[in-house]
Amino acid sequence: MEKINYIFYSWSEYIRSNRIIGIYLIVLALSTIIVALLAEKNELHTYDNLKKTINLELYFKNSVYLLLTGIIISTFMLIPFTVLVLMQFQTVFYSYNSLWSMAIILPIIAFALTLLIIYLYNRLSKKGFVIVTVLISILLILCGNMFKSTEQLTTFDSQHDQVSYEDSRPLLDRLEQYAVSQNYSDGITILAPKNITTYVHMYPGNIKTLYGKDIWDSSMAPYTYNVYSDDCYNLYTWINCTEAYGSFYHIDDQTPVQSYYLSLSSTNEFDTVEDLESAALCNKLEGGTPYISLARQCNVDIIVLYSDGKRLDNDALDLITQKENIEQEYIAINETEGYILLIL
Amino acid sequence: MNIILLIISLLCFPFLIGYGVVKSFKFIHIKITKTDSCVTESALGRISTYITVGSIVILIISGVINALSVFSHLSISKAGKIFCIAIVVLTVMSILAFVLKYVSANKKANISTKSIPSRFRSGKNHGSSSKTSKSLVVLSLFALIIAIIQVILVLFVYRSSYYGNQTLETVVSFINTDQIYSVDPLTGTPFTNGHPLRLSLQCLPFFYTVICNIFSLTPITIVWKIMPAFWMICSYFAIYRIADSLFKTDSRKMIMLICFELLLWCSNSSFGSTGYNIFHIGYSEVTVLEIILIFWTIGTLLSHTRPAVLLSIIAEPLIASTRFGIGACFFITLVFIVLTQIPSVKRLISAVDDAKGGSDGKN
Repeated sequence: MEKINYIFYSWSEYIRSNRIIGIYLIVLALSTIIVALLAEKNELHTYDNLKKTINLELYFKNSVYLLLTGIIISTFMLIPFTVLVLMQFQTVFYSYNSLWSMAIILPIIAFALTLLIIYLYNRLSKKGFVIVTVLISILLILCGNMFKSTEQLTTFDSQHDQVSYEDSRPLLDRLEQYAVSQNYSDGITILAPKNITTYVHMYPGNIKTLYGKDIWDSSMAPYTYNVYSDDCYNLYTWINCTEAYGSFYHIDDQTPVQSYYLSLSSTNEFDTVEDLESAALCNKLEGGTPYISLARQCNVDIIVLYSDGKRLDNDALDLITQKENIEQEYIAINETEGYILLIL
Repeated sequence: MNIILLIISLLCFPFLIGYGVVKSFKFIHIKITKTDSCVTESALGRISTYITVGSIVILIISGVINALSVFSHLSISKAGKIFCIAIVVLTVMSILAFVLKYVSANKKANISTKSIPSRFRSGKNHGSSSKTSKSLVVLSLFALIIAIIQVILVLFVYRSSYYGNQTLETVVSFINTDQIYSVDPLTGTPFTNGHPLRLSLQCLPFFYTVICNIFSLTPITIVWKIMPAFWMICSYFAIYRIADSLFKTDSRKMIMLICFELLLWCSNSSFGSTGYNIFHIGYSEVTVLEIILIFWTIGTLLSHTRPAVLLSIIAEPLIASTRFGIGACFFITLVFIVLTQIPSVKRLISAVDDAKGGSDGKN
C-alpha cells in the first residue's frame, strides 16, 4: 500500500512539474482514437480519403507500431500494479520519473508535430506555411525552458547552503598545497562544512573526509551502502551548525544551538560538559551539554571551521583551541578569504 | 590541443567502428541497416546508424573491460591500455573494410557500362530534385544551427547537477587510486560495508576515467562538459534513425529532428524529463540509457532489423542498474514483439496494405 501511495504521489508531482507529459497524453489519446477507428475494416475508406488529402508519405505500419508501443507502455505507467512490477525490475534503483523514458515521449510528440507540419504544408500556400511553421517554432521555443532549470539548480544550492565549485576551489587548492608541503603521501583527512565536503571529492586531489554527501542527500541511497555511526552524525551536525551560526549559541538569544561540544582531547572522555575540568569551559556553556571527543573518531588532519563568509566569534574559537595535552595550532588564513583551518 | 584531439576522436571513432560492425554483421547476413530490405535508407540514415552502433559498441567494449578489471583486479592504467588496443584494432579493421569495399566497387564500376543513373540521362527530374534538395538544405541548416546552440549551452552555460549521483566522485577516485572501486568515492577511504557488484559493473565511470587519462583532461571537463555534449549529439543521430523508419523523404525526417531538438527545451523542467536529463545530467547512466539505448531500440525495431536490438539489450546491464540483466530495452522489445503478434493489429496493418496496394513494404 505504501508503494502504491508512493506511485500516486510521484505521478502527481511529476505531472505538476512536467507539462510535456500532458501534451504527450493528449497526443496518445488522439492517436488511440484514430488507430481504433482504422482497425475496423469498414473504416478503411477513411484512411484512403485521409491519405488522399494529407499525402503523408510515411511508413504507416511503423507509425502504428510506434504509437501503440507508446500507448501500451504509458498505460503500464499509469496502472499502479504494472508500475510496481516495472519498479521491481528497473527502478528499484532509480526513481519513478525514470520509468517514463520507456514511454518514448519526445519521439512521439516530435512525430505528431511533423505530421501536423506536413498537413499544413499540403493545405496552405507557401507563404502561409512558412509563417505558420515559424510561429510553431517560436511557440515551442517560448514553451521551452532554456535557462530556468539552471536558475532552479542555483536556487536549490543556496537553499541547501551550497556554494559553487568555483567558489570552493581556492580552499581546496590551499588544502592540497598544505598536504603536499607536509608530505602527506596518503592525502589529508578533513572535517568541513557541507559545501566543502560536497566538492572535495570532485576535486582532483587526495583529500579524504569522514563522511560523504550521502549523509545528507537521501537520493544517494541506491548508490551506497554506507552506514554512519552516531558519532559521525554528531560531527556532521556540529560542523554545520558551527558553520551556520558561527558559535555555539544562537546569536540573538544566547541559547545553545547545538548540543555538542567538540573536544580535541585524546586522554579524557566526558559525557557532559559538567565533567570537564576546565573552569572556563564550564562558565561558557550551560550544563548538560553532550560532548563529542574527536579523538575517538578517526584521524582528522584539518578542521575547516568556517566558510562562506560566516565566522566564529572569538569565544567559540577559544573553546576549540583550548588544549588538553594535545599539540595543535590554528591558522586564520585570512579573514577576507573566509575560512579558518584548524590543523591538528 | 588535447580537447581538439578528444573532439576529433569522439567524432571519428564511433563512425568508423560503427561502419565496421555494420559491414561485418552484413557479411554474416544479419541486417542492421535497411539496405537489404525494401525500405530504403538515406545516406544520413546510414551515417546515423554507424555513429549510434559505434557508440554502443564502444560502451560494450568498455563494459566488458570494466567487468574484467573488477573480477581480476586490474589497474585502470592496464585496463585503459587494453581498451585503447581494442578500439584501435576495431578502427583499423573498419578502415580496411571500407578500403576493400571501395576497391571492389571501383572494379564493378569499371566493368559495368549500365551504371549511368536515369536522372543524368534525361533532364526530366531536375526541377523537382533541386527543389527537394533546396528545402532539405534549408532544413538541415536550421537543424544544425539549433544543435550547435544546444551544444554551446551544454558546454558553457548549463550547470550539471550532482544531486543523487556520484559519477564525478567515482572518476576522481579511480584516477587517484588507479583501481576500480578500491575506495569509497564519497569519502576517499576504504569501504566499510562493501560495494554492490551491479554498481561496479557500470562502465561509464571507467570509460570517463580512461578518456581523462588518455587526453590528460580534468574529470570535471570530461564528465560535466564534453561527454554530455557528445551523448546529446549521438541522440540526434539516434532520433534521425527513428525518423528514417517513419518517413520516406529526407525533408520530413529533418523536420522530425528539428521538432525533437526544440522539444528538448520544452522538457527541460524537472528531473526525469528528457531535456533536463540531457542538459543537466547528460553524463549519467540514466540519460545514456534513455537517449542512446532506448532510442536505438525503437529505431531498430521499427526498421525491421531486429537482431540489432541485441546490441542495446547487451549494453544496458553494462551501463545502468538492472535486475538480472533485464532492463528497459528488453521490456520495450518484448512489448513490441507481443504487439506485432496481436491479431487485430496484424489485421489493421494487412488491411491498410491491401488498401494501398501493398506498397508499404514487406514485414
